Amino acid sequence: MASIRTIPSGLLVIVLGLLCVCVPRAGAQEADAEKAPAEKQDSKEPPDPPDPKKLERKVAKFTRELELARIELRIAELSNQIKLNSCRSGLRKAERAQADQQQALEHFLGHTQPVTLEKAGIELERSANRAEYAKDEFQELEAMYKAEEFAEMTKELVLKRGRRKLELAERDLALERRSFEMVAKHDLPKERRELEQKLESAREALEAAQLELAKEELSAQVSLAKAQHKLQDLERDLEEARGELGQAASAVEQ
Amino acid sequence: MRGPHSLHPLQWARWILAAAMLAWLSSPAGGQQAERADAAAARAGRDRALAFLVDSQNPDGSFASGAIEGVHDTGYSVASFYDWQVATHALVVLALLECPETRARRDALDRAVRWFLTTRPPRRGSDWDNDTIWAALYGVVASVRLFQDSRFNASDSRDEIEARGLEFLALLTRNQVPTGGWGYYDDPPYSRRPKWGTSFATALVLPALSEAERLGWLTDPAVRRRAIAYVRRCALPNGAYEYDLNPIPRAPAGEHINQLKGSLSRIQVCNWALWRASDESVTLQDVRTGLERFFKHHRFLDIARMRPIPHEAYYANAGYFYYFGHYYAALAINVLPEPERDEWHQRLRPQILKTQRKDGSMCDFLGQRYLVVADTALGALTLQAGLPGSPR
Repeated sequence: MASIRTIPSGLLVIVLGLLCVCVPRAGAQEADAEKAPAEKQDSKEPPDPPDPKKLERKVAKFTRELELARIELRIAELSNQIKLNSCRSGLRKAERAQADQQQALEHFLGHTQPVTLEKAGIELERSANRAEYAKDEFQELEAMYKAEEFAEMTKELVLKRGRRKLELAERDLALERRSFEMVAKHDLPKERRELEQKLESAREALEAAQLELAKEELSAQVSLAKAQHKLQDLERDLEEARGELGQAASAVEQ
Repeated sequence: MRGPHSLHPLQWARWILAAAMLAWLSSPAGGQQAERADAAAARAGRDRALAFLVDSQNPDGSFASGAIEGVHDTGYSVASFYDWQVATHALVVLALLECPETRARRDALDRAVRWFLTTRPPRRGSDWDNDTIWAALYGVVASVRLFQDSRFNASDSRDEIEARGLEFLALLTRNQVPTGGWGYYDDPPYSRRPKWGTSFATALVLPALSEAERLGWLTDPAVRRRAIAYVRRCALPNGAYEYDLNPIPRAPAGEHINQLKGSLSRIQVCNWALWRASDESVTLQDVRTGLERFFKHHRFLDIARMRPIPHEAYYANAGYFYYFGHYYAALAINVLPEPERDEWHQRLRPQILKTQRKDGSMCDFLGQRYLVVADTALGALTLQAGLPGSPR
């Protein structure tokens, strides 16, 4: 079976690569956007000095956003931990369920099925013996009364009883034969099929749990990277804003 | 005009009919059709029974078989089948001893005696199944009777007979239950000396124990005294005998075995045994009353005969009560004064003869050989007991 870590590793590399490529490009575009008006201004007239109050608001805004970004990073970390824990727990359960179903099938094939068949066979044999014994008894009674020509008061009573006992024993045997067939050809195969289906379902559930975990691990990395990059951008923006504010303050003083 | 005491002709007829009914119901037959069979019929039936027995003797001189022969008999210990064979064999020896001798019968008797004296002693089969007592009971009866028979008393077998009698007697003594009787099962906790006895098993051996005491075989008279007391204590106020002795003797209502109708065979053997033991608790009138009840309620024995499950008939009568009860009824008749006996035997014989099969055999329970042979021997002994010259 393929390892959980080998399948998503390629995907992970691709996603991280894309992130690395995209994030600097975004920063570069912003830098380009800021440079463009400056170049325009250079070409016409000197720009107005930045308004310190605006710059103060900008610094305050980046400071707040930076704080929120730090919290969002922490939220992303916790959320990832919860999702991954849940996935790992689901995987363990699926592994246990599959092992249980495997064991149930093995127990059925190794013990339940042969023991049930053997028991049913013995019960059938016992019924056959009972029927044979009832037949022997009845024949003995018949022979006894054949030799005894005077016991008319008991003969019919006893023979009727013996005949009924034999009839019931034979019916019981026929029923036991049907019961054996039912167990051997219907009940046990049905139980086997059900166990095999349950095992198959457990295997599928395990595979799904493995994929779910792999997916969640990737998602976690993505969400974490996004939050970290956002934080880094804001830190840089704040630093730049503070620099601009410092320069503006110096210009005002001069 | 009719006077105050005059009766209409129809009223007269009613009175006459009622008187006739009363007379009929109080007759010895107790309201049943009283069948009779004479001595000639008894001889013929006896001879057919003996012919069957002689023909069925095994080459080694034994009768029946010590092995299980039918599926209805499973459940007993393996040893029980040999125990019953020995008991059956002893009954056949008794029958051949009691009945008139012919060459064939004498030859069969000699071979039967040889087997009886040389076969291995019976042993208890299991913790609960002690059917070996049947072998011991009839072994003692047959040994005593054999020892008293002039044909064997003076023979080379005398010492062997005594030894075998002592052997059976020792077995009985060892197995006498603490309350004085003998039984053929034991209850938990199982013990070497069993604890369960029955009235009828104990009673059947009492006269033989008297003889054994007289012969010097039974040296402890307390054994016999305890046995007599056991049977006496089984007697119930209604004239029945308990199946087994209970601390508080009783005959519960309903179809209990200790009701008169469930005690018909036990009454005969117990009355006979106590009378023979000179026990004052039984009078000749008790013997007569017991016999009267035997015939009055005989249908309960008829219905039970040949039912294959023990005690399944009304009042828990079992099939095997039949010939046992009739044999001891015959012996009970023989303790009555001589002039009374023939009338009773004439009534008893048909109950045996009506059951005799074409081949001369008789059976009251299942179809195994030990039962057929034992029943035929008991039937022959019953018929023989009513013929002139039979011992009391």
